[in-house]
Amino acid sequence: MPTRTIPEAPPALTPHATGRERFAAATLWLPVVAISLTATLWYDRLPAVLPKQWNGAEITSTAGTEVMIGITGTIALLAALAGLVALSDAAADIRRGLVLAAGCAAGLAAGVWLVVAGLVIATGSAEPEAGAWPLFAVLALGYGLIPFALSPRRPHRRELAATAGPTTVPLGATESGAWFTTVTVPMFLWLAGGLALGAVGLTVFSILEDGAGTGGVLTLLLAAGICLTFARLRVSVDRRGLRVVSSLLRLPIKQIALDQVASARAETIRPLEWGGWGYRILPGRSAVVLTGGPGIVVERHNGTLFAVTVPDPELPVALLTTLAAR
Amino acid sequence: MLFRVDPASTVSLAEQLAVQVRAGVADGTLAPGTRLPPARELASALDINMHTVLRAYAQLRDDGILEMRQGRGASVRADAGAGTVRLVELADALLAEARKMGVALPDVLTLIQTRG
Repeated sequence: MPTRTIPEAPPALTPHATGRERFAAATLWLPVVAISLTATLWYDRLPAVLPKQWNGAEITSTAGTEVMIGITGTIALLAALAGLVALSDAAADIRRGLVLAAGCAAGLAAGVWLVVAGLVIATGSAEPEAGAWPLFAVLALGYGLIPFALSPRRPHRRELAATAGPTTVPLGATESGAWFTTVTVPMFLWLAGGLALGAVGLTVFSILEDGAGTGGVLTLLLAAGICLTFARLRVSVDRRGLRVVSSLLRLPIKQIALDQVASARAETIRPLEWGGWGYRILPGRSAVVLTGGPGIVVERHNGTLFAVTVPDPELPVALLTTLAAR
Repeated sequence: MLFRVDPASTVSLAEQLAVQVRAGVADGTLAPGTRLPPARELASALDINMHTVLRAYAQLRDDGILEMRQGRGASVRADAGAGTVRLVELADALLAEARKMGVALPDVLTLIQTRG
């Protein structure tokens, strides 16, 4: 596909992972190796229960050795797998951030394990004094900076499909045009209903149990509200620009005024390339993704992109192009 | 769907809107059950008076093309199809022709009734 690149962008990196990025993702396996190696070597010499928290010299909580290995090992393994996901082409824009987060999680997990198990092994006591060692476990968070520093900074992709000139809607000088569509996602309605029911159930439980689980009720209600917001959207293009409004809650979700619109095009939206479903915010672009499929992609004058999935996007794109050029 | 109005046209704004909705229903762009934008929204989008949009919607409701429910706005009736639209168009054409020939409405109605 022929593409054009905005001039100020440095030499374009393809979404494909570079050698340095592969190496960065590989460093995420070090915590996994460290945890599994030490766990195997030390297992016979470790007591059944390990200290977990210290308050000064006093141990305030403990955890089973297997549980400790399981939790820290799983976190490190998930982080390493996240590194593999980050290498996929679709994740190119968020690759650097993803290896940073994964590195921090894996570093912390390995740090906690090494400090706790290492102290027990080194002192030969099941309840060793920690001293300043827990600080080291927290500093291990910084491990994420290694894969982050190894990954090159990627300019946001600014590729526009070269089309044979944008299509427009022939509007007379005195004529005004407006395009409307309503997109309904029944699944979100069901989800909202289910979550609201759960909230009611939990409220009853909360009242019976003297206020336990109030936070859960709020979380469920919030999730239900979000599902309801995206269950039915009205997308419009008119003199006010491109607007996305929650039809059920009458809540404006996004508005791009005509004077911000640099260009608009119809494109197939792949949810994975835009970070999933719902209201997505990625570096340099955002999107309202309800289904995979056709959608409107608008580039603003500041270079950021906004996408929304709608059926038959050609007409609204043409209208938006026409109105923005007025 | 695309709505367009031209204030410079000799046709009234409400009629311009009604014609487009009828055309949309006739060619299938507006499937039965499709919701139309709230009158206030459409009026604001086209920079026209809300009552103009309401007049168009009311006309379409009387023609059996839209149904309007409190709180749910206007939507295309389930039984509104190309047939209904064609009938409305023919009636409009008949009335226009009758008016041109100076035939009054009761006479046109009698003409239809004698054939029924």
